[in-house]
Amino acid sequence: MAENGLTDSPHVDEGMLHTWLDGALPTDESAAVEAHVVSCGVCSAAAAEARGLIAASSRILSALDDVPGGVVPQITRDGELTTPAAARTVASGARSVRSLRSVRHYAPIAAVAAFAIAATLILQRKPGPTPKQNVVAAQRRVTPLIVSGGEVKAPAPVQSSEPAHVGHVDARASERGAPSSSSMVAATTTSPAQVTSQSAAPSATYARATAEKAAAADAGALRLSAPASVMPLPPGSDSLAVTGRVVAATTGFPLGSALVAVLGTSNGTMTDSSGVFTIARLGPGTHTIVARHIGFAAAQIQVSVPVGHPASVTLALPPSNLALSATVVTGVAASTGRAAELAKSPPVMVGARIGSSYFSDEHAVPVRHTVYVLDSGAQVTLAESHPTTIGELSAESAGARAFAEPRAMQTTLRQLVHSVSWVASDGTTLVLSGAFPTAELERLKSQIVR
Amino acid sequence: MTDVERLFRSYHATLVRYLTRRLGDRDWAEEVAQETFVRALRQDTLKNERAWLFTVANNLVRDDARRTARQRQQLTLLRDELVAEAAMDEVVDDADDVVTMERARETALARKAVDGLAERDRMALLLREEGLDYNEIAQALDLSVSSVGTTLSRARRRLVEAYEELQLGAAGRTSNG
Repeated sequence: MAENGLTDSPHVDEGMLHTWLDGALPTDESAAVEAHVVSCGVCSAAAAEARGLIAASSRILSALDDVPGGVVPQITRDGELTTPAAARTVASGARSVRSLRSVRHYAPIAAVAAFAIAATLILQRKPGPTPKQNVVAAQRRVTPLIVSGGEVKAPAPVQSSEPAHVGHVDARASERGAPSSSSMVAATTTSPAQVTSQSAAPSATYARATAEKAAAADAGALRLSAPASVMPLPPGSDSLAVTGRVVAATTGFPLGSALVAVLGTSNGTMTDSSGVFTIARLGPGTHTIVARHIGFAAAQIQVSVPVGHPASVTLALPPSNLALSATVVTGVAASTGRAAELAKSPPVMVGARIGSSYFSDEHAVPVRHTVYVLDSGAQVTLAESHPTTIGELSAESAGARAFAEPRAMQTTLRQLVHSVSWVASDGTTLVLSGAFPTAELERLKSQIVR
Repeated sequence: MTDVERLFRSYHATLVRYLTRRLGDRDWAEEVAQETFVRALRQDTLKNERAWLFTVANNLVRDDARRTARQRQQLTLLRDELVAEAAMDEVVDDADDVVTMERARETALARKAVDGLAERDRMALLLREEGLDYNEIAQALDLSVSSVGTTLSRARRRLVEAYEELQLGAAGRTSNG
C-alpha cells in the first residue's frame, strides 16, 4: 500500500478526512492533511472513499425532496423560491458546488444541466482569483468579414468602416467575457466559443445586421450633413408616396425584407415578402430611393413625385458576391498530458466524453475536477490534486508534465460511487469517482477490477 | 429588532427543505418554520442567525415530536406506504415512465435510510446539506466543533451503507417477484 516510507506515520482518521474535505480545517492543518494524503496510499484511498460517501449521501438526501403531499421549495442563486422542475436541477447543482459531485443518475440530462449550473456557480463564487481555468480552450481563427463586389456602395465613408468596426467591438467583448465564463465546455451558452462565433460568424443574420447598421449609419450621417433637405411636410402629404417593388435583376424574383430608403432622409421601409414597398410621407419633388438586400448590390433610382400623384418604381438589384470566409471555432482539450492520459488509461473512461472541467480550491488544495459523461449518460468526475498551486495545475502546465506510473492504485467499489485513485511519483493525486445507475454496475465493475 | 423580512427571505426556503427532509412531512415542516420565524420576531438581536434558526427549529421539532410522536410515526409510516404503492401502481400503468418509478423507489429507500440514522447524525447531515459550516452545526446541535467531522463521517457512511443494503434488498425482491 504505502510504498513511500510513510507507513510509520499514523493515518488520518475518517472524521478528520471529512473535516478536511468539507473545508473545515484551518489552513495549516489542511495543508498537513493534504501532504499526508498525497503521500500515503492508504489515506489517499480513504480520502477517495470519503469523497464518494459525501457525494453519495448528498445524492440520497436530495432524493428526499420528492416528498409526498408537496414539493420542497428550492433556492435559486437569487434566494428565490423556484418551481419544482427547475428546482431539482438547481438544488443538485448547488450541492455539487460543495460536494463536488452529485449526480442523479436516473436523469442524465438533468444532471448535465446541473453540472453546468454547478460549474457556473463555482465560477461566480470565486470571481477573479482563478484566472487559469481554461482547461478547454476555445481556439478560434477569426477571419474578418470580407465584403467584395461593392455590395454596399453607398457614398458615406461611415459605411465602409462600419463592418470592421462592429467586428472589432464584438471581438473585444468576447475576450472580456472569456475569463469570467471560461473553461466550461458544457456551458455552451456562455462559452467564449459561442460569443466568438457570434462576433465573427458569417451568418446571414450577422451580415444583415451589419448591413443594416451600415445603412442606418449611412442615413444618419447623411441626415446630419444635410438636415436642410428634410422638408417640412405639407398637410395631406401622406398621399404622396412611392410604391414599388424590389426584384433581383437576374431572375426578376421579388426580394423580401430589402431595405428601402429615401436618400438624404431617415424615411425608409422594408419590402414585404413579395418585394413590395411603400414609402409614404414624401414631399413633392425629386427623391433618390435606395434599395439594399443582402447578397445584392444596392440600387438606386430617382423618382419625381408630382404634386398629388404617387409614384411607382421598380428597383432591380444586381447580384453581389459576398465573399465570406469560413470561421472555424474549435474546442480543443488543452490538457493533453495527465488528464488525457487518464482519459485513456482507466478502462472506465473508454468512450467517455468530457462534460466539463473546473478547479476548486475550497479545501486549500487545488483540485481540478473533470466531469466525464459516459456513453450511458452516467457521469464520472476525475479529481486531480497536487500539493502545489492552481497555476501549476493549469491547462498549459498539465500538458508539459507527463503523468508517471501510478504508485498506489486503489479501487473502491460501492454501489453508488466508484472511486479509483492514483498517487503519482510526483505526489499528484488522482481520484476518479462517479455515481452510476445500478444497471451500469456490473459492466463497470468488470472493467475497473482487473 | 432583527430584520425579519430579510431573515425570512434568506432562510425560509432552506429551513423548510431541511425540516421536510428531516420530518418527511411538508406541512409539518412549514408549521415549524413558521413558528421559528415567529420566535425570531421576538428577539432583539440574533447572533449567528442561521445557527440560531436551525437550533430553534430543532427544539420546536423536539417538543412537537414528544407530544405527538406516536401518532406522527404511525401516520407517516402509513402514508409512506400508501404513497409508495400509489407511485408504483401509477408507473406500472405507464411503462415508459421508468424515471418516475426509479425516482419513487429512490425516495422511498432514501427515506428509510435516513430514518434509520441516529437523530444527531441525521440532523448534522441535513444541516451540512443546507450549507451550514462546522461551527454552525456545532452550535445548532450543541456539539463540540471537533466532533462534527466524526459525526458527519459516521452519518455519511451509515446512510450510504443503509441505502445500499435497502437497495440490494429491494432489488432482490424485484427479481424474486
